[in-house]
Amino acid sequence: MRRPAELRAQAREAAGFTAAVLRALAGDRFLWRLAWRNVWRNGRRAVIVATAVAVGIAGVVLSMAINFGMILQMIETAISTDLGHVQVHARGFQDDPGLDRLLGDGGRGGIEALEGLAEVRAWAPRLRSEGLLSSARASAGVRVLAVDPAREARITSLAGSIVAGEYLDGARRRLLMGEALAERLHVEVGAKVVLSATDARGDLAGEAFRVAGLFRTASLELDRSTVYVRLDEGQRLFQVGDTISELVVVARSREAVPRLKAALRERMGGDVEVQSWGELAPVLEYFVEIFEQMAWIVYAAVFIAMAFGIANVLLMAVFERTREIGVVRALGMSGPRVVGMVALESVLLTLVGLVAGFALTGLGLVLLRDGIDLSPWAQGLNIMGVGATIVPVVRLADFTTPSVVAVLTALLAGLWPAVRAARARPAEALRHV
Amino acid sequence: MAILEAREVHKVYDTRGVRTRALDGVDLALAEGEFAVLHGPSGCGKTTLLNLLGALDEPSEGRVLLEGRDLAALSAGERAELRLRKLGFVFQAYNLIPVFTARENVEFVMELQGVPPGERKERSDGILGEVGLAELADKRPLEMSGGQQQRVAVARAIVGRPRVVLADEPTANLDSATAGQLLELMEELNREHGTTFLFSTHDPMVIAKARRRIRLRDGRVVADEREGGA
Repeated sequence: MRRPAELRAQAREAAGFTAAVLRALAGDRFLWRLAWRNVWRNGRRAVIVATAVAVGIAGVVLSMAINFGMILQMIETAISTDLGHVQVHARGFQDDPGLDRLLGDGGRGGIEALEGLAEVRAWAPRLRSEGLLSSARASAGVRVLAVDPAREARITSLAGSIVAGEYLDGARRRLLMGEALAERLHVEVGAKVVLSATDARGDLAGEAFRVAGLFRTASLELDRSTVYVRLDEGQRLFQVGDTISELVVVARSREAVPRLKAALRERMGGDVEVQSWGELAPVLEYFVEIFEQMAWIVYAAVFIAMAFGIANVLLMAVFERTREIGVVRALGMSGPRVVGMVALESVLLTLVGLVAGFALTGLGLVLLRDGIDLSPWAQGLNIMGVGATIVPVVRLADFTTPSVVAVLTALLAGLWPAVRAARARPAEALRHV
Repeated sequence: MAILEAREVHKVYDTRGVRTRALDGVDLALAEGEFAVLHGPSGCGKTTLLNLLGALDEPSEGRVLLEGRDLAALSAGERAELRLRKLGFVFQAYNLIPVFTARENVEFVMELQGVPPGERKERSDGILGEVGLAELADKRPLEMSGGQQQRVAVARAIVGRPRVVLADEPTANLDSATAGQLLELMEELNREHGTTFLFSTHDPMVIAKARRRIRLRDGRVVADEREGGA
């Protein structure tokens, strides 16, 4: 076993060597020039490796962009069809969303708190409960959302999702339901349905409505299970007076949500729950986290393959140039400089691949700017809350992270051949044919 | 005082258990300004001795001293530094860096020595002019003849102002006219700059030009003659 003093000495030596390599790289334009020209000595080989790196990088960045675009769409769909950015409820509502945990006085406290907040783009009150919707031929359990139609239209995409009939207007006893639910109940626009529910007093209540319109959103779950009625009619059906279940707030941007939430919490105190979309639907945030983790797995797979490719090419290049390396060693080139030269060749080759890869990515993004049409899988995507067209979304980190990882990988991949080259004794290297 | 000295130097190569004795107790001292040649039949140890004197290899036994410093006591890095500052090499196969032009090949040594760019340019232009290649300064080795390449190699060997130039069969790949011109060039450099030259060669023309002839046989010095005396 090696003694600690020996290990320390070796560590010092390795650190000194690394510092010498870095010094050589930093202050030696000749070394850069030599490495760059060496890269192109065997042009075909360089092009093959650079192409492999380029395709790998473009594949990684584009697949990340498509995946992120899908997740972002899922989040945006959830936000724009139902969640909004922030919701305000009475304390305990999220754990037990019953009619006994409502915001009194039409949510006035919350509405006052919203006034003057720069982050707020729109808000709407909702009463939320459950019921049974029956047609002449079938019935289904439904989520009932009683909304202020005008305000709801400003916070969700509901009004724009109507595919048959009309959005809620002043007419009494009208409701909206998803196209999927209508199919299940065998009803069409204008049909009569009965909504039954247990009201706040625990009595069974029921009321007849006509189907005003059918909607189709990117969320099949919403389309299958939700009906919208006017807020005042919901309040009457459920016997809750002027109370509401929630205030749904849409911020000016997703980035403004934490500020908005904090401001509302400060203004409204502890009697209410103020939650962001991520807290209301944690699964969406998990998706983002899982995506981030998956990205590293993809990076690892691509870059490990790339590292072997580069190391292989450089080993070959170093072997072919054994004699030449012997010559530069004979002329007085130090070991760290030789390491720097070969490692630099690896990095430069990768940088060429990176530039080509980003050009390829750019081309891919231009070609896919209108999105990827996944209509054949639309139903499956709808279950996940994603539309049939996915637009890739690329972030700066999608370029910077793989670039940094690729350069580090190239450096590591280049080190083995580089150290081999530096270790060769000049006299032996010069004898190499 | 000798610039370069071999004291009781032995070299044994061990190739997969087969031991070959290349040098068998060589004593040799090279003084400043000498124009000397190592000669002898193939396999007599010329290149091995040149490699040991040039700090490119280590002896199995004995010592090699450059300006009185024992090379065995130096680290690989220190030996590289010594080669850079004190020694110049000319090889049989020219061994220029193919991706560099003639000027860049010459500047390369100065770059390693840390000579500033302006001075590098000036000195490389000067030396390329001296070896008669000013017009080919921007050509790469593959665009030059063997003789021209060897001239660049000589320019590269001396531009760093070494104390000793070690040349291993420098004329072996050249026709006799080109070899003659190259020898004249090196003789002139020896005369004008005082650079010490030590050749290993089979070439009678080189042997004839040398002012000191060291004959090796079976890894030993069997004759050491100087011009105008023994």
